[in-house]
Amino acid sequence: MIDKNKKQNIEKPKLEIVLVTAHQLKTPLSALKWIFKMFLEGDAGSLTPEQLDLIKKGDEANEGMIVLVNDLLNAGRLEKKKPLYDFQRHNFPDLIKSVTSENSVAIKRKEINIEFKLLPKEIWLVCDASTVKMLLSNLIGNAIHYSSDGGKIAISVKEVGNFAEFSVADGGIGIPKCQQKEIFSKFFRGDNVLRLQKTGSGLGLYVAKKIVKDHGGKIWFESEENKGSKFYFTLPLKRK
Amino acid sequence: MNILVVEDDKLLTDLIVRRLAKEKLEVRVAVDVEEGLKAIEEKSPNLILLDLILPGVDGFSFLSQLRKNPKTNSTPIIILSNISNKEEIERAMSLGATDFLIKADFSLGGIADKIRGVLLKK
Repeated sequence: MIDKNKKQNIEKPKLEIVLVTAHQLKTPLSALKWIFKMFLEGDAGSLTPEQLDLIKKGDEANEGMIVLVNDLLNAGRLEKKKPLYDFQRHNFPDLIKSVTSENSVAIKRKEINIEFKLLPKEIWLVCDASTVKMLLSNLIGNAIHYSSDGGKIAISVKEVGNFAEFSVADGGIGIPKCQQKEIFSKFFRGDNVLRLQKTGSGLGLYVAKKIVKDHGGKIWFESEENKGSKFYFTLPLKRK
Repeated sequence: MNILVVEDDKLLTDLIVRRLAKEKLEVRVAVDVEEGLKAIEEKSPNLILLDLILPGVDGFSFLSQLRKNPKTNSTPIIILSNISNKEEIERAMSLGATDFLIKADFSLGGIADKIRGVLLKK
């Protein structure tokens, strides 16, 4: 039996290897991105419809790899014993709007209709803005990714006691009931997601849970396969 | 307008040079700080595109050196790196970087737009 300290000693270099490898992968992936985009932006002359289609597929696959590598890096950073959080006062609706706008290309491409059901002008909370944006991006990104083209996403945020409560609902593929217990574990991918060959690292929800927990909030969801999912989380308005 | 690219990856510099040539920009490449300093001595660049992980002296030290050098203390320096953690971005900005671009987040067209924007402001 490996004792806890020994296990930690093995785990630490493993984490460093993952982080270094993930970082190294970003250079060739950036080069591929630049090349694909040069073709798509017409810098290498005009393409036949078939060539354009193939380049688009290559570009999409490469973007999927970049997301995966970023997820690995984010998960790795948060796994460190003391992740560096910079707790400051931020207006939560502004963070939500900023993440939605960062996802505007995917929203437009899939013709997703985003509805802000409840979005007050101001809810101030003390949080680490960059990781909370990562958390929002993972949940809103999933809602977009797993919705059909032309689908609808509803976002809502409100104050509940000493917490801000966020929710995002989609009408996408949902999570099979038998797998719902596992969804926040590392590298989890739903069977239906795998069947549809949707790209993803299986780290987004793991990272989301870690961020919420480190901020002192809660995360949960409701989901029905082929009908959609609704994810909620709370974050405290003040730090204790 | 002449741009100095300080980057040690040959494939990336080839692509940058190829794309920026379309913008009618004169591009020179340095693979490390030593070559970078030599290039600046030869001709002052209008803008420096700087990677942070370089062989020998890293990009942070070079950036700080450039800001102390009267020849480059007001030259726009755009960091082009795949380092994406907040602390390192803030460190580069506090050392005097004009902007910080993450390689994997931009197309070369997007990077060219940023360069043009900075040069126009100057």
